[in-house]
Amino acid sequence: MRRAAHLLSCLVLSAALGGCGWVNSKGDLDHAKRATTMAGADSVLIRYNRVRARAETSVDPAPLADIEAGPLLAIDRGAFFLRQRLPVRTKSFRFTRTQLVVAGRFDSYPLWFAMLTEAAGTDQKVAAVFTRPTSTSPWRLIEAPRLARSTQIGPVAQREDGSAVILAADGGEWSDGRTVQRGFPQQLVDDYAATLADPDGPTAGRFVQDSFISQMRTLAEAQPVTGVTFEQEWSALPVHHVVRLRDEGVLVFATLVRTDRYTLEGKRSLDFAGLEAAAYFSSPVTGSATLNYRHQVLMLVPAEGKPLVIGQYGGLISASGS
Amino acid sequence: MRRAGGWLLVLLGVLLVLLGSTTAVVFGPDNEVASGPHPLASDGTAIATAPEAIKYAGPTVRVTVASSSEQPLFVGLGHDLDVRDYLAGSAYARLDTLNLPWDTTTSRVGGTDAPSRPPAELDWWLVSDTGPGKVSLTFALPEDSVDVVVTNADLRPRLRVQTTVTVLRPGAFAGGLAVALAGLGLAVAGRVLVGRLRDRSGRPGIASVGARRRAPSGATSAPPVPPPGSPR
Repeated sequence: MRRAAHLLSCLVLSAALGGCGWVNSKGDLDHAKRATTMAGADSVLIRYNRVRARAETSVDPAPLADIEAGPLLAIDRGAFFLRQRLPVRTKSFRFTRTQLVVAGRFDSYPLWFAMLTEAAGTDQKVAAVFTRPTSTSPWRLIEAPRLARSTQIGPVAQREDGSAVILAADGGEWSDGRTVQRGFPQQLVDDYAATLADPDGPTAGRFVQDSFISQMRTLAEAQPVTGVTFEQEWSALPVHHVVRLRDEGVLVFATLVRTDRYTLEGKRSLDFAGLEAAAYFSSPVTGSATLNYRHQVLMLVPAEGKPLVIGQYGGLISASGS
Repeated sequence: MRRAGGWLLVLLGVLLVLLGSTTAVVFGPDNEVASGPHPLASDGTAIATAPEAIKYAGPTVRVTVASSSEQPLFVGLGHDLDVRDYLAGSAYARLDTLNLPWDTTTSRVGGTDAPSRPPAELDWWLVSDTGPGKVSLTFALPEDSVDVVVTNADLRPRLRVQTTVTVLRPGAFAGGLAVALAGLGLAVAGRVLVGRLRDRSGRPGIASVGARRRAPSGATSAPPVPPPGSPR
C-alpha cells in the first residue's frame, strides 16, 4: 500500500513537473563541447597578458613557457634572446580588444580556438590560436600571425549550435561532416613553401604574389654574393588549425621553416653587425653560418581565386656557425 | 452534453487537487525534496557520475558530500569531455545510473594513475567546492553532458562519503497549494453544474409524462360536464 502511494506520488509529480516544462529529458546525449566561450577566451587573454608582462619586465623568457608553445614559443624566446644580447628596444606586447572568437566543437582533447584581437600600441591585429592538449594543461598560445588592422576577414561558417566549422583533428573532414579534398590543406602549404624557395618554380603560379613573398624575395636578393655562397630553404610544418568561412573560403594557420645558410670562400669573413644574427656571433664568421627562422602565416584560400598570405609573424630562433 | 462537461470539470478538479497537494506535501514549506545521506565509496581516486546518470535538465539541485574525517574534500560539476580526460587512466567508482529518491548502479573503473593536478586548480569546472569535512554544490541541471566528481582534495585514494541530493523548487509549496485550491474550486463548480442540470431537467419532465399518461382517461383533463338541469 505504501509502495503504491509512493509510486503514485512519483507519477503525479513527474507528470506535474514535466508538464510545466521544469524537467526536460536530455534524450540522446552529445558528449562534445565547444572549446570556449567569449568570456572564456577573454579570461585566457587576461592570463596571457599578465604572464607576458612579467616576462617582459624581467626580460626573462622563462615564464613564456606557461602561456606559449611550439614554434611561437621558439620565436618569442629568440626575440627575448636578442633583447638580452643586443641594444634593441622593443615595444612590450599586450592583447587588447577581442574582435572575434572562433571556437569549434570537440569530442576529445586536444582543444583549440582562434581569436582575432587587437595588439596594444600597434596598428596590427593578431589572429591568435590557443591550444589545450589535456584537461590539466593551461591554454597556451601556439600561433599568432599579425594582420594589418585594415584586413577584413569574412564571417566564419557555423554549425547549427553556433560552433565554428573547423577541420577535424584527423584532417579527413570538416566538423560539420563535409569531406575535405584529399591532401588539403597540407599540400597547399607545402606548395607555398616551395614557391618561397623557388619563385620561378612550378608552384609559383598557384598563389597571389603577396607581400610576404615579396618581402622574403627582397631579403634573399639583398644577401651578399661576393665570396659567399648563400642558400635558402623553405618547408612547412604539419597544419593543424583550419577554419572554413561562410563564403566557402578557408583560413589556414601554417608555420614555415626557413633556413639561411652562408658558406664563405677562401679567407673571407662575414660580419652580422647591425643584424639580429649578431646576437649569436661574437666575432665575424669565417667558415659557415646557419640561421634558423620560423614564420607563422595566416593563409586565405578564397572560394574563387588564388590563395594568399594575409598575416605573418616570425623571427630568428637559433643560429650556429664558426 | 452540459452534464458531461460538468463531470469533466469535476475530474479535472480532482486531478489538480491531487497534483497540487502531492507537490505541496513532497516539497514542503522549505520548497526542497532531499534524498540522503547515502553512503558512497571508492578505493580509487574519485567517485564520478556517468553522463547517462544525469538524464534530465532544468531543475536546480544541491549535492552535499560529507566525510567522517576533516580531510578536505572536493566536489565539482564538469563537462563530460573534461572529466573524461581528467580521470583517464585513474581508478574510480562510477555511478552509471541514478534515480531519485535513491536507486543507483555503480561500477569500478580500473586505472593506475592519478590525475596530474588537484581538481581545485583547474578552470573548467562549471561549479565546484572544496573544504574540510563537508562540501556542497548548487546548480541547475544543464542540457550539456555533465558529470559530478567527488575526490579528496589532494587526490588521495580511498574515498568514503555520505551524499545527499536535494531538488530545489522555489515556490513549489505555495504553487502546489494554489493548484490544489484551484482544483478544488473546479471540482465544486463541476459538481454544482451537474446538480443544477439534473434539477432543471427533472421537474418539467415528470409533469409532461404524467399528463400524457392521464390524458386517455379524460377524468381530469376534460372540462367538467354540468349535471342535468343545472343552469348554463
